[in-house]
Amino acid sequence: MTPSIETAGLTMRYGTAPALADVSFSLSGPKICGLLGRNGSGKTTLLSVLAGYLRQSAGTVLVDGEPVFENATATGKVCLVRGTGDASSPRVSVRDLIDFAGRLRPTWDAGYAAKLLEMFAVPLNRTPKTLSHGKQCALGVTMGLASRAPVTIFDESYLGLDAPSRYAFYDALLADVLAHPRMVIIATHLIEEVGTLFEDVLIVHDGRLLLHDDADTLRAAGTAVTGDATLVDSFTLGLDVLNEKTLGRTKSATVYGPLDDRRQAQARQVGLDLGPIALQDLFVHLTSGGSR
Amino acid sequence: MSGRNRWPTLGILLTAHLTFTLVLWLVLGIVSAVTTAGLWWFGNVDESIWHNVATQVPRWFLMGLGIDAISTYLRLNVAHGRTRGDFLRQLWPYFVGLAVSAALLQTIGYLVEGGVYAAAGWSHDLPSAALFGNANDFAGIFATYTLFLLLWTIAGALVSAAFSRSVLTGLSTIPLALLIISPGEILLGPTGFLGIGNVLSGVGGSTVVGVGWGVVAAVVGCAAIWGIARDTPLRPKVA
Amino acid sequence: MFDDRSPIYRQIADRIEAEVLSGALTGDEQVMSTNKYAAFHRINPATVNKAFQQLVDDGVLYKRRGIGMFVHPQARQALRARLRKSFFADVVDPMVERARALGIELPDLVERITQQASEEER
Repeated sequence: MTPSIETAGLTMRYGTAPALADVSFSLSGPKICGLLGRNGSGKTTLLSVLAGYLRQSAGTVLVDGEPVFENATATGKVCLVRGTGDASSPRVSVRDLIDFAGRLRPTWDAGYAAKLLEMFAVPLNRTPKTLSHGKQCALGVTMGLASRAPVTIFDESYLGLDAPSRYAFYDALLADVLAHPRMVIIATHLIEEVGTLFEDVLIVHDGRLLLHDDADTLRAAGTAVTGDATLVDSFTLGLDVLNEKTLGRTKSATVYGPLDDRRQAQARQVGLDLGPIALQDLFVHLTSGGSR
Repeated sequence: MSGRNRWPTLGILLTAHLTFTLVLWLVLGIVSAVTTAGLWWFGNVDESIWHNVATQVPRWFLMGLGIDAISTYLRLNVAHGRTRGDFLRQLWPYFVGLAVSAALLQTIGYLVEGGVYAAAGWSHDLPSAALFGNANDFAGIFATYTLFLLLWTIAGALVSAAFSRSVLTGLSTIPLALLIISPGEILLGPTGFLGIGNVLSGVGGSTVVGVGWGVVAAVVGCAAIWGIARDTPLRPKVA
Repeated sequence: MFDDRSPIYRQIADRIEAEVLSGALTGDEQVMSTNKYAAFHRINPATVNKAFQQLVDDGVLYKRRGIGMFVHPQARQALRARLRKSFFADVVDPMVERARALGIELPDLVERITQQASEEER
């Protein structure tokens, strides 16, 4: 199964304000991707358009080469879980909701769903309205996992789970993706926790796609240059500096972009300390402030 | 794919709603029986109690089912990768199936009451004029209630679909919704709903007008639902 | 265990190399499959694949089709040789720089090392 997603010039306007502007990217093959972005950056809008929940104002969205909106061939391949899930209704029992899923999704695995609900301790005969937020999230996450949809998207859906449940989710996700390869997109704020699962990372900022890169490449993309302030300034001249912190005469600057061996040697010679930048910090620095 | 899987939404909707309808009908039957017993105890029984119950209550319930069909199940469908078009195409047979089943229950009510009244020696008169002249015209009762309840279900679904787009769209469809249920005032006679029946009483109990307008209203209602829900956005639920 | 601060495939490769060097992993011993490794450490399997492939290219691991990944019998020697080559540039030179920065005379440094050598002989 090699599902693919392709968007070109994707734009979404609510009134005059653009929620998404000219977003173009493509993803293909079974993999786990991370979608990062601040609140209000357009993450949920982008994912909603990918799933056919919304129709875009302009541009194209293709799943396996087919336009998505109101196209059963494409939408049938996508399962989007937003928050506690749209495949849930406050007054319908969990058992019935699971039954509906089985009837509406051809790829649904009922046995797997039952196992997951047991693992998360979600009672079958209650309605979502009577469940705690954590259990509602567990139900949503179960819907996504058991759907076995070729493109499965979790939009901050597991954030309501407590830490042990979150780790149980990551383990279940990884185990299932290994046994049944599919494309999984995870939109998250908990980058530190789930970052090791990502193969690709997309960052959305102010409705635009800021970058799309391999996760490991991004982990090497930033460097913290620390030392005497004047030395740091002259070293970072001409480089892409994302962030600077000063304490007395010491300055630490976050530089974006690879530093070749020559530059690294130069830094050591001058007595500057070079350190790595975690993915989460890189994200924070790239998306702080307004549009760049 | 098996036949059952070709119309999954229809199956889901009918299973969910018919159970409720049956329960409601039983409750109404009990209410009617208790009222009749009370009347018999304190006074005399000379007309159909069931008719009063049947004309006033079930329509609201079916309107509620129409609302629920859209507000709950449309989202569920799209969330499971189905299209709105696919859902709407299964909505029409659902409307008909629901209306027919509910009308059947209504008719059974008249039948049962008729039997009880005959045994007790009471006259089974209709307290108000409807297109069916008497409480024994079971075919007429069934047909009239089918169209009547169908219109109320469609009106509920229409308003629900409109409000799920925006409050403005919702409010602006209310006049249309009223127009769709208005033929009911001819079909069942004035039922005291917003005084529409009084306005229409000039038309009299014309079968042609009642049924003709009713059918047109049903079609227009469905077309409006199609137009509104065809590409309605699914906005994130507020937690 | 594996952090987000440097490429994870590099961290995995480094860790396995360290285990080979220390003898925790011996020649011709089988290593955990990439899938098991990914699940165990909660890492993307593609990343693990990349690390293992890098180790195969570097001659640290070899693949036996249908069975799994094994430590190359010469891996430990090869790694030690590689590290020996870069030892002077990566360890000795920075140490000398640091000594200079602290004001330690190089003869004192040499004396300390000679002292260790003679202790070893005893």
